[in-house]
Amino acid sequence: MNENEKFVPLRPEDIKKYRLKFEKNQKLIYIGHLDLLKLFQRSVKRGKLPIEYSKGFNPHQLMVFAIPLPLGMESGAEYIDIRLTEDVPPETIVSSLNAVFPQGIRILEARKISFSQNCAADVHSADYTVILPHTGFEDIIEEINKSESIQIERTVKKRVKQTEIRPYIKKLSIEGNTLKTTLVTGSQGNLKPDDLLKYIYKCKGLEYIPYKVKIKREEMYADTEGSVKL
Amino acid sequence: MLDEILLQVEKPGRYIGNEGGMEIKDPSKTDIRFAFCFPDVYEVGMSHLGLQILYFFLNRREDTYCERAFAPWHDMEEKMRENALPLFSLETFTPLKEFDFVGFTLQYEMSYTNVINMLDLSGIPIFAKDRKEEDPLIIGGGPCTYNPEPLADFFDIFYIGEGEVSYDELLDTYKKNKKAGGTKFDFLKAACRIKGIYIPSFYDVSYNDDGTISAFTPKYDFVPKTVEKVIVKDLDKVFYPEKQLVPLIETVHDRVTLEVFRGCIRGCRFCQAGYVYRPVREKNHQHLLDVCQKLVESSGHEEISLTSLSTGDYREFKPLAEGLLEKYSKDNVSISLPSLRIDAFSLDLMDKVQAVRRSGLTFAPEAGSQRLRDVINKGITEEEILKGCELAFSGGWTRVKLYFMTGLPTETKEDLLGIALLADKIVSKYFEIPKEERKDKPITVVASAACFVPKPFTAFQWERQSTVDEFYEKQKFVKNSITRKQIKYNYHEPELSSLEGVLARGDRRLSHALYKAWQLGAKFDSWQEFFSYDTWLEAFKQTNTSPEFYANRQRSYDEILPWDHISIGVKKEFFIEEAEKAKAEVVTPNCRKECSHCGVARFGCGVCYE
Repeated sequence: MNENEKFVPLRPEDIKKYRLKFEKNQKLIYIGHLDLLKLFQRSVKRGKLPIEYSKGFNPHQLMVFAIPLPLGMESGAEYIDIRLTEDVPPETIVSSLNAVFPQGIRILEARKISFSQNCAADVHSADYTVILPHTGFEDIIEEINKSESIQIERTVKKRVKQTEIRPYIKKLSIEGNTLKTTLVTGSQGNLKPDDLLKYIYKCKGLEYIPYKVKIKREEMYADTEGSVKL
Repeated sequence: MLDEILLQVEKPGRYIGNEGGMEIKDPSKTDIRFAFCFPDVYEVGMSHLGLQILYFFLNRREDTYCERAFAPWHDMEEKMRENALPLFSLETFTPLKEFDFVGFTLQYEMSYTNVINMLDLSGIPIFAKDRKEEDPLIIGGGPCTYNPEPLADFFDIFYIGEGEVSYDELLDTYKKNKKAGGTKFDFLKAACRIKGIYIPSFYDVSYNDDGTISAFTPKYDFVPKTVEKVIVKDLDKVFYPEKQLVPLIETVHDRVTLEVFRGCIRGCRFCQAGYVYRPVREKNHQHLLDVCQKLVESSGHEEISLTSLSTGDYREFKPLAEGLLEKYSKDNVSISLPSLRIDAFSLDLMDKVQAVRRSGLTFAPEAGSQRLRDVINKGITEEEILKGCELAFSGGWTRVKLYFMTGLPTETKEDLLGIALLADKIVSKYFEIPKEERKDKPITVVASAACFVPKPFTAFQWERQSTVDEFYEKQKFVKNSITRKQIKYNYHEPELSSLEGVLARGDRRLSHALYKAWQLGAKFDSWQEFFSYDTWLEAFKQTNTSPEFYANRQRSYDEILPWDHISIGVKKEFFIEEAEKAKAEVVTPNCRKECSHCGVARFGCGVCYE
């Protein structure tokens, strides 16, 4: 909640919060997170939704994304929470935003949520589908699934760090060149699909070329096991 | 393949189109495909109002599909060349080569090499004479077309003036010719009779031994001797888009742009825009408020900017500004104000508009002394500036920006010293305020000095430009005259201005040097990180071109200038008068005070008939 609002006693029922699920695909995968935020800000205005603003010196629209989607990645399930000044039927939110969005971004559903919910805090895991330029990873996938510990090297603030990633891999399977995985995602722990793929390629002795790989985020979950949708 | 490339370049959002407001048409159902090209990077081009106006103006025709293209950034260019991917339009990813027209807006001289580069990236022959019937027609518009001669060999058509006037006739003519099975030549022959349309290949130029022009002659009897600019007479009645293209990525200006008038009453003698856009034609403020409402609603932008050459001169400024504030301040839409004459009203207004406070106050005295300000006819006095600062300081402002030029005609050391003195007086003014009334923040005065570039169609079009060395000397002199720590002094790089000076007043022979510079790798010359002066010097050397001939030579009034066949409506005699008055340090009153009979009354509109 906005810190400037502490002087205004708000009852929970006064807070009108909605969670929107949207997809981002086609050419829109080439715009980054900040540009997406701007697009939402403008679209909310164009769609004439009664958006709530923060009360600070520099008022901004109250909206929160679950987790940024990397540039170039497609998604079938992104989440954003927005706060409105009055109740609007969810189907109206969906239709007014979709009427103004460019091709490549579409709201799939909207629902009212309680004042205490926050998708950035709620997200704990996500499903990904990856189309690889190579096949023949079955053995490595099997090995990973059997293993208890996987160490990878990650560069954090210019220093190479050893990181244990096995607990973050919740599900992992492959069929041909299509890899499916559920990874721990969110503020309490996060594994980027890129890091996992790099590891898989390294094991196979192949060079990992990010732009040859197509990654799609399929769903986000409120638990780490990938069973309760956000 | 494009997808793979996009994942390997910086800001791929530059190349995907799909913006809010983008026109979607079926190209197979339109007769004319027009590629509007801005020869700079996407973020710069998309912030340009002219593009927004013409895009929707052309697309309002059902028979025409206007699409856009920009100069790809160097990383993208590299990938495109590597993969033999030709330059494409953002709407339908169609190669530019397949268009009927490829139009370039020529906003600044330093974008010329990008024009050549974009043609090359499109696989379109760069020189007009090498292009075939099936190649697109290359057309240029914008301020640089008032002297298009350095580009004459690359273009088929130049459009002189405001786009809303003659484009319909031009496109109708094209369509008719195409349907009748006419050739390119047939079309150009018909087009050269349309007002404002200049076909460079229809003229022959001959030169004297000293390099000056001896004659500029039409090749055929159907070709007009001079081409006069076209302008919109009534801006309240002409088409203005009610929506804007809203980019998906951050650009230089992401805001609603309201054009309040065209032209300028001031008549500053160095200012090309002030002459070529004459006469002043204002829009009605109520009309502007209506348009603004539609633009805000359709774009979702949270900032409105008022634009013109001198918005403070807008007669309906007060009701417009108040109307905007009243309407939008509660909707979290901010208003960005241009630099205004400082008085009680404008200060109060600026107080209500947060955005201004951050950037501070701006003045453009242009010259350091009153004498030189009289020479250039810059109607601002030291007293006005100091008075404005005094008002602003007592209102709590502490940042002042001053814009100057060095190398102005008749400039002396005293004039340069005046830059330091004026900045000094402003700082002193601040300390005259009782200490307890001053804000905690220290005062800063930023003085910026640009290098003067003489431009065609100004009172100084015959003047010699200072050389690079002279500019450096002047800059150093000013820098050394500044002693107070509250004053910050910035200056432009003379090399760039010097080259601009060459291209601005160049003739047709410069096309070789331009082409050579591009071959040697020049592009994005307006970007400091790309500009290479040495590349240009090498290009001049290899093409036996003397940059001094164009930039640093004093011309005489009777010399045939490369742009003499273009008419902006202002008479040459008027420019001579103004040049002489400059030497005599006599000012010319602004158009509202008194008509100086420059000649533009012949257009029958605007301030000339108020």
